[in-house]
Amino acid sequence: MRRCMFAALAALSLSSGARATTVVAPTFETLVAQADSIVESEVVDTRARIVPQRDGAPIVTDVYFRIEKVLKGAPASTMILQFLGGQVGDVGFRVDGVPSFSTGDRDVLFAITAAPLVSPIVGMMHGRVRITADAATRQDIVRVFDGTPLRDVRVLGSNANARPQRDQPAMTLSAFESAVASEVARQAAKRP
Amino acid sequence: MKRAIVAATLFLSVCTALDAYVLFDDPWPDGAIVMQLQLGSGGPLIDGSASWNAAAESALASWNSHIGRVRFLAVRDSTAPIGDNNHYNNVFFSGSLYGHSLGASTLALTTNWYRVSTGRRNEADVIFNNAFSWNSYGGTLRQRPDGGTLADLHRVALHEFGHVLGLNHPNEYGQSVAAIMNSSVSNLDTLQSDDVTGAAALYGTSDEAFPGAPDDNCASPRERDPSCRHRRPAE
Repeated sequence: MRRCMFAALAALSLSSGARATTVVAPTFETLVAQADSIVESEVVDTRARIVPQRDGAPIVTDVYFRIEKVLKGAPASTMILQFLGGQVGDVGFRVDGVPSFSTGDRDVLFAITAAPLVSPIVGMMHGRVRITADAATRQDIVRVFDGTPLRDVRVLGSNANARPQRDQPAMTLSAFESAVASEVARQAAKRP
Repeated sequence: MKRAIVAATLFLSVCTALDAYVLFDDPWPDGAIVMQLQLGSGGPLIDGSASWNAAAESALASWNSHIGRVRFLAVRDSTAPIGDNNHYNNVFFSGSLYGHSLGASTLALTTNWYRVSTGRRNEADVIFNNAFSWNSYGGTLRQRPDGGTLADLHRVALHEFGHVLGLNHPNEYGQSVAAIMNSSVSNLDTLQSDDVTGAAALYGTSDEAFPGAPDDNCASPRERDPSCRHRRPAE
């Protein structure tokens, strides 16, 4: 019971807003701004390999995506992203926080393709928005990286004062697409 | 605030199912986990730590007070070669890893190498992103005067050293619990009950016998471990 009280108090302390310990959780605006490619995708394959380098021989995993829709960036039908970590034979190499993918996973990815990153997803794992079918409505809805239904883009990142009501329904994929498109257009209009 | 009270009430109502820790399935073999502290000087820091290494060593000591069959051993101001898969557990500042940038949002990360056949890990490195402004302090998270994040090395080290032990992020598995191991925290700056319970699930509690000398494992039969040669003699 003492643990429960402790946890309850901790819950109260957490209510003032959250921030990642290892990653500063990006806001929706930051996700859109930092990504040079925003796509709806499905994983078709993953392959781990050793990459000999001057300072070692890390294992990387190439993830092959089929692009269903491009929301920002150059049009493409496929994409390969390289993530640090993987397993080759008896040797495993893991970078904590780097997302792992399985064939068939559907996501909206906020990706950085211009430079090699430990995780080419904005905010390590935060730029991975999961697409799942809602059991009741059979509509595609979106969830944040930890599986929690995304109800409002304002909940992303540190905009803690903009928490939506719990009874607000999960965002549909089409509503999320619209939000991304609006933000992309807004940011493009601001550029000189 | 109303949501927080509801959340607190909810916690109280589910007291029997609070353990939420998530473990990787490749723990360390029993014994010492020698950490090469290579963060350098930089003190005194807000919390009085004399250096970055001292702040990190304090975080290691926090874990040590709760775990049994393994124990962190800090090598202060280590000069061990920095590299991955070289069997040294390096703790250092950098902006990249193997030519891959840590990115603009990543404060720190932990790598680990393991053998699939044995299910045991054999190396873990912790990299703090030198693109951020760091200090070491307790309590409420602070901002820099320009509005950016003032990263707290001690609490981030607690989190990363939890990864070194083999703990994952409970909140990434749809769980809601107070834990330093959550990928998202606010003002938590100490190990929480769930963190300690998770570590104990891997290695037992501090009441259990540690398989080595209790005070200085580099003076024990483990002194043949090449990592120990970097340790300063006790003052």
